[in-house]
Amino acid sequence: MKVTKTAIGDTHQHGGHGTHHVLSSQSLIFTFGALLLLTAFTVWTARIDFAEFNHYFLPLQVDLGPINIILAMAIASVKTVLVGAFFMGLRHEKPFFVLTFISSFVFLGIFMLYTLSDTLYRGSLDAREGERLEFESPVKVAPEGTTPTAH
Amino acid sequence: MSTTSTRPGKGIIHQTAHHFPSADAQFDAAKLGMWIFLVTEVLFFGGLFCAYVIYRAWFPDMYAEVAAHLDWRLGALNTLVLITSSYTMVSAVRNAQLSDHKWLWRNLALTLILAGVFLVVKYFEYSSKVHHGLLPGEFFTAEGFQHNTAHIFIGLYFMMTGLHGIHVLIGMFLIGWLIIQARKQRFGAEYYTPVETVGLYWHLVDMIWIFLFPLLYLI
Repeated sequence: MKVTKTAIGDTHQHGGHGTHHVLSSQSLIFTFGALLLLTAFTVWTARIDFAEFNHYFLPLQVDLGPINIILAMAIASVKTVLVGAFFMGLRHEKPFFVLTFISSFVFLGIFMLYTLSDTLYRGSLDAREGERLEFESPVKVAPEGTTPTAH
Repeated sequence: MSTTSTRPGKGIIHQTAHHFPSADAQFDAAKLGMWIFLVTEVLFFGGLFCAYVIYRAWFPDMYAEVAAHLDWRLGALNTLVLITSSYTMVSAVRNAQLSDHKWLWRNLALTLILAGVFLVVKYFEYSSKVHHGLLPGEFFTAEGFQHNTAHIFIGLYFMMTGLHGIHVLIGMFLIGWLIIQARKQRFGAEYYTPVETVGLYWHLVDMIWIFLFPLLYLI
């Protein structure tokens, strides 16, 4: 891919139109290369089963299995930061825009944590695991056609 | 009534709206609007990612069994295609900043072609899944699985990649429109807001795939 010859570094373009940061072609190529390397790295690490190394740590009773998913998500996060900082230009963007975008991941985290606090512990508070609890409703269902009356 | 006005053949015709103090303020307002839209997009996809996490916590072995039926090579190929398209897209933004009209539309055209390649690869993946009966919910007809919840993973696979694919398709229409405008030299250093905002959208589509690839193909 050919990029224009003039390699403008971390300079700002001055003109009648204020100061838009012109992207530096070196940092774009660097980011592109880093993203390709990280893709290769995530494929490579996914093919290693870390649980196979458990026997080295037998006395410690640690399970290395989760390393696979932790590493995959860590690499994906690094790639996302690279795309956000360099390709989306957040590196030179107004802090308020950066905060706006990061807030989406914070709210996503809250959403997931609260949902998991339910789904991961279902049945651990009552003995009747996985059952739908029968309960006697205080609501007396009226026959059809009657209008509800309140006291 | 005025008759059809003759539009200029080439060059920027955009003017700052009267309620903005400057072109910069208008540019920033457009960008903030795009960022807020991207926040809603993250939460939109977030629902599916949350479903993925819940079912993975419940059925980790089923995920490993069914994910083995996805071809990680095609997933990796599509990852490379999308990352390259992100690079050509950001290069197009740079071309617009430097008023390089020739390379602006060329880089946009490359981005469009790569998006097309992504969807063609996706088409081959989908047809293979359909052929083997690996379909969501009641349409699941594949046999020989150890887990009776296998259809859940396939359902998540189709919904997550399908929603992402729709975003790629919408992106292709937007980039196609940008190419038409770029050919008329409507963008330059003074005005390139649509190139910038479509670029932001395109990078988010790339970001989402960066997570979908390891979560679906590399278990």
